[in-house]
Amino acid sequence: MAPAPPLPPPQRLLVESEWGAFVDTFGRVMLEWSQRAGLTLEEAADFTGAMLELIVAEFRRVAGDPELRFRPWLKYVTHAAWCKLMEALVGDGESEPTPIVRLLVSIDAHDELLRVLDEESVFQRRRAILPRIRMATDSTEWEAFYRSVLEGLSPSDVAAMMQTSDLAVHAAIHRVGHQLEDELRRWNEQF
Amino acid sequence: MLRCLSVEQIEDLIWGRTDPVMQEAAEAHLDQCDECRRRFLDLTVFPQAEAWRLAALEVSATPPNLQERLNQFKDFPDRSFSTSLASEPQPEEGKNHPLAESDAESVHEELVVPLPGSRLGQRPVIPGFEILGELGRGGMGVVYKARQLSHDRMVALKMIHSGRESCPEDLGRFHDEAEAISRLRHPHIVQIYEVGEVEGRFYFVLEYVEGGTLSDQIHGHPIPPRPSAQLLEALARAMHYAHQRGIVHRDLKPGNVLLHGRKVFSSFQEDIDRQSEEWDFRRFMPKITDFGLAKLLDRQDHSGHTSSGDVVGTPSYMAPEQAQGQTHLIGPATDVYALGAILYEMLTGRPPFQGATPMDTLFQVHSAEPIPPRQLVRDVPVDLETICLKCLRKDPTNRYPTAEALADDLRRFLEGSPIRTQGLRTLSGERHRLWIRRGVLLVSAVTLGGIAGVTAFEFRKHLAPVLTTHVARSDDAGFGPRDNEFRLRLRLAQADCERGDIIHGVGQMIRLLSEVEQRTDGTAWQECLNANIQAWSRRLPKLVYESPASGRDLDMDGASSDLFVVTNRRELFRIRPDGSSESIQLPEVDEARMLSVSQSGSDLVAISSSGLRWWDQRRGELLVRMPHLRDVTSLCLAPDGSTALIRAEREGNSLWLLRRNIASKSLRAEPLRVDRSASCWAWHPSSDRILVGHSDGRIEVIFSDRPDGRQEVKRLTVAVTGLAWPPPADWAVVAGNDGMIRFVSSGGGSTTEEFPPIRAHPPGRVILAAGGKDTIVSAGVDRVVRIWSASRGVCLFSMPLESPVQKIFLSADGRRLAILDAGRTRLWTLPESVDRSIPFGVEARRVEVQPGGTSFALLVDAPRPSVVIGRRHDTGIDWSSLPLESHEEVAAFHFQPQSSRLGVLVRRADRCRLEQWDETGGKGGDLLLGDGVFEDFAFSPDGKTAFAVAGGEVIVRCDLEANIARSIQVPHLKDVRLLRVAPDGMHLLLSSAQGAEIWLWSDVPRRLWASPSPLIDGRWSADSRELLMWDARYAVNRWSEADGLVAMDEEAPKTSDLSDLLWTRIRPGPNSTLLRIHRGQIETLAHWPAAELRSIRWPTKGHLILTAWQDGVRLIDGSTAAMLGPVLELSDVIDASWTNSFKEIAGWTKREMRIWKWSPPTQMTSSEWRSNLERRMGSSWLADPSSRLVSDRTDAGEPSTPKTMAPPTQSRTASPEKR
Repeated sequence: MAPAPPLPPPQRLLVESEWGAFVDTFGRVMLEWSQRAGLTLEEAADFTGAMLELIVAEFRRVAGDPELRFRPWLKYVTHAAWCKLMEALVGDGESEPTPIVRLLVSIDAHDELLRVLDEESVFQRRRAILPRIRMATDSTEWEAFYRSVLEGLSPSDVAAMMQTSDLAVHAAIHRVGHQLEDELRRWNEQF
Repeated sequence: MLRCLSVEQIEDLIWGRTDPVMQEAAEAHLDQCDECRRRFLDLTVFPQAEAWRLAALEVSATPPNLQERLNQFKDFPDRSFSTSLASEPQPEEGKNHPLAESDAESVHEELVVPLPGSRLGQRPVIPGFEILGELGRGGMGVVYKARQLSHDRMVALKMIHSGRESCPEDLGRFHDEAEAISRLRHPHIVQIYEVGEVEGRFYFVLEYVEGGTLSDQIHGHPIPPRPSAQLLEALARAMHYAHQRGIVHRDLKPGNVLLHGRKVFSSFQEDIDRQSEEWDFRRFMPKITDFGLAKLLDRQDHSGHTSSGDVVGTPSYMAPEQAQGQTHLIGPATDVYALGAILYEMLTGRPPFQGATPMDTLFQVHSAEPIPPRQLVRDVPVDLETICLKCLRKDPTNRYPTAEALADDLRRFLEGSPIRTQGLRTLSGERHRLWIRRGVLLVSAVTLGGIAGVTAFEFRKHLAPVLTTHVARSDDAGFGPRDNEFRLRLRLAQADCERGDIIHGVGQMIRLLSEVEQRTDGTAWQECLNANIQAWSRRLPKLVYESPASGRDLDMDGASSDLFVVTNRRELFRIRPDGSSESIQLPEVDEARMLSVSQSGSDLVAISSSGLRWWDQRRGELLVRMPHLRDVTSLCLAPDGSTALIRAEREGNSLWLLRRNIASKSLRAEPLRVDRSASCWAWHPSSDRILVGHSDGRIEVIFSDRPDGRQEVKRLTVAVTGLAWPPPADWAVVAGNDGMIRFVSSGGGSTTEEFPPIRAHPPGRVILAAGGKDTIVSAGVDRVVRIWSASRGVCLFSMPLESPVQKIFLSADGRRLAILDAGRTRLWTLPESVDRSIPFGVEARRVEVQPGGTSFALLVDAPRPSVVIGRRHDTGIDWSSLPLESHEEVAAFHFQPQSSRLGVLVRRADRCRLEQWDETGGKGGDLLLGDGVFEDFAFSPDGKTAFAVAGGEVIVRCDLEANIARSIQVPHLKDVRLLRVAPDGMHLLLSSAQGAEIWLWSDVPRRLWASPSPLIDGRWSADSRELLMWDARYAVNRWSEADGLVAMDEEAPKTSDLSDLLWTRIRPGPNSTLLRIHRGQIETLAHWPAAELRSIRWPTKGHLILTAWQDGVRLIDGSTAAMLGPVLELSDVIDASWTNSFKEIAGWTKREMRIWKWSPPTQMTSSEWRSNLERRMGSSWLADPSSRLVSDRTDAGEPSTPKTMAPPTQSRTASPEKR
């Protein structure tokens, strides 16, 4: 597994390299989501581009907040960008919106996009946390966790392989898992 | 037994808060009590396991098309994006209409499109027009198909994007386009009908051209030459018409040439093929369109819709001045270039430059020469190629001055008249001069660009020399793109091998071979690939044994490298190094699960459920039995067999020593005072101390005879997971939880070498074994076993395994590797990379090796100056020193061709002798040369004659058979540095700083030719009548007795041995270039801008060039310019040579000579190689040999299988193969 860099605090997204990483991660999620929603690649790219632009605009408005944490920030700016874009797409309401606009302008779509983006941010955090915990964990304990949880082997197989009891493997899974979840919680509180 | 556990007790147990006694009891209870066990499992359930497992998987790469889109959004923070979602109807047939002025590959200086207004989602309403659909869209506008009601005709209506009408630059460009088209009334240019404005949005109405574009029709397939010329003539005349009216198009390309027809384009290619003689203008009327980037030459006050430095256009068709943003140079010649690019694509099916990215393409446009069309499509007439290449010249002044001149030359070609432009030969000559003029700069520039674009893997120093050859050769006349592709792919496969992934690298070579087998002209590549496969497969381990039954444990004795394996069938086997096995019958061998043997192999200890047994396995005698010893989790016998180290958690100790008392046949247990943090250990070769690694990072030495005596040698910041302590135990090899291998001074002696750490595996547990001089084997959580050279820190070989490795052993000589994984035991023989090393013992001032023989000579200064001859034989070296007197000095020495004798030029005061010595130090001849300070001499190729030079002014010819020396004066040359004796022994080429001369040694020696220019080198033809020579300006000239001096590019050599092949090195050291003179043409074979070339041995047979570099010796195939086999590594090598009748290669430094075996390539087919390798590696291990050996991968090493997007219902899926 290639370790993922930690997600930057929102304030640092003004740095171009980190903005690029943000686009690679969350832009990709938006592209894939909008394609799954039925947009063509061209349309999905336009949608993603507009959303990213609006996210930047929203970000600038709230960047000064020192208490800003990534996950709520992402939800907020995505929501704000979504609302503005949909407003632009629907226009003055005099003309009939196209099917694509009708598809996008729905609460379901809004909620779904926010959900996948939030899932992605948690996923990225998990990727960043794994190597940290791995370095801080006893090697035998990590191996038991690695083989059973990350590689998907059954605890009894792992126990036979490591010449230990399967209860010891279960305990190792619990201990390492607890550390991981603990770390994830700390990150969420911190960032 | 305990009563049932409370939740708190279970939690304490889970978190290790229970004392050992209680823990043991609790675990025993859990084994028995289902209810407690269920509660334990309930408390330890980890519901987030799946989420963490997904997070640990490699994330699949973003598909290129998506990544390309994403990259557009990264230019934070001043980029905005088009969001005209669903605002207009979709383009017809999913294509971009060319009238929508820029497509994806266009480089347009204005990509910024503000957010749309609020009127999206509707078609515009334009009075007088009925909008029928969208033809295409670009960054600035959208093109609709519409019906003009007043004329009842179909039109194309181009309208600026909503929201952009307020942008003055957009508006300016929009108006420019309309104005440009309105000035033009030409049958081959799209007409404009009307310009208008509706609700503030501008539009213009264009002629509607039904059909497709020229790009659609070429679609990778060449169009026959004659219709291509006819079409281009029409386009050129149309552009000349535009140029006369002050309009430069700037974006001419096949996509902007509409072919007006009636939807017959599906059969277009067939029509062209059928009637390949003429272009049918009635059916396919070409019309140039999209003047969106047009430059109005007469508008001097242009506000700069394109300012200096801006790059607009489409890279593949963009002239160099356009690519560099030199807008002041843009004029009609810019369009002439684009017309040439269109002709090129029609003739070859591809544009002249096409990089992986637009930037790559721009780089090529700027720096590289296009491949001549005839190299891609043989049928292209020479004159048409000449016309095409003239259009594509870098300098605008070297192109046709006008599009009309181009059209006229095309007309001459069509009518069969001589064209006006210069012939191809002249162009080739110019290319050679260009090469000489621009020299290395051009090649280096192209190289940099090529490497940046092509290779994603690391660019290590030893990759540099050969990689660069691919690009360097691409602009030479004699090599096709297919060769370049093969060369690059072969280089990538070699790079895989160099990284240790030999299995995959060789698999790629076999795949290449199977492709080459389909070619009729692939003989040279077949030989090259066969040589590579053969050389690399020599570095593959050879499987000699694979256990039929699953093994429980194994150990290897240090003396004979015998492997002892205990199997699940209660059998004990001894596996000999050759793979033969025998069953060992020992009393009470029942269910042994652990095994250890002493260094000598006589003591064997096993632990089973019935306790410990200690045998003298040679005599089959059970020495000691300890039935109660059952809870041992690890066992390791001391090398001398006197003591066993076991791991058993008792009394707060983790490690125990069991000492055997021979007399009483008993064991005495002693605690080693080590806590549970001990994670790995290794015995010292003397058996008196143990190296112990801990999970807290400590590494300590504990003396076995005084268990309290200990010394911490190192403390790492990560847990220690593996240790090896190879003799002489000065340093220990340590693996950490971070996947790194470190070398730690262990205090066992003086550490002589400092090795840098190796990043061996992903973070996680790594186990180790060491053996030989510097071989290490490691296995990590990635299930890959890697074999390392400790001194060089490079991976020699890696073996992916299906299951985690439980144990690995490496024999003391480093040649045998045993692996236990998932119950399987396998024994491998590892190859030796160096076949033989000969240390000189002293530093040699000069070394000469007998060509093709086994002798070599050293000029040494200590203990006194002398020449030493070494003669190799199977068991060693016979040394003999020449008996020189103290007042004698050796000026030069060379081995005599066709003989084993060494010629030595000996100076004594002001008189010199040429002495001949045989290999054993016996004198074979002695010829007095006369007065003068002689500096060097040279033998003729047959060895019968030698010429010696004295002070640069006197030349002596020595007839070695008749033992006669005869001298002449050469007063014009001082300090002669170059002596080349012709095969007849009569002709001689001399060169000094003052110039060069050719002499003929007949009855009266006479000078045949003289030049004031000094030479770098020269090569005589076999009949001694012709000579090729090259001077310091890299110019190559030919001299012959019949013609005198003739320039190379005017007339090719007449003798076949010179005209077919000649090698030359033109510059040693960094920036070396290898040239070939082939049929009168100079071709660049390879260019090495960074690496230092020390010497070259030209081939005396075949095409094998032996080269010595700063880091080792490389063999280069002269036919393909590809490297053959691995680098023969030797630091600071001076020179290399063939020896032992071309069966070996010798490379030497001042202090050492290394010998590598070489065998001529075996010519086999790809399928034969595949089965050969399967035999070598073991078919059971190569479970799917075909997939493993020929699986395709990209250059970055990733599987080529396209990665699919996750289905809509799944945001992320785990694929098993990713684990």
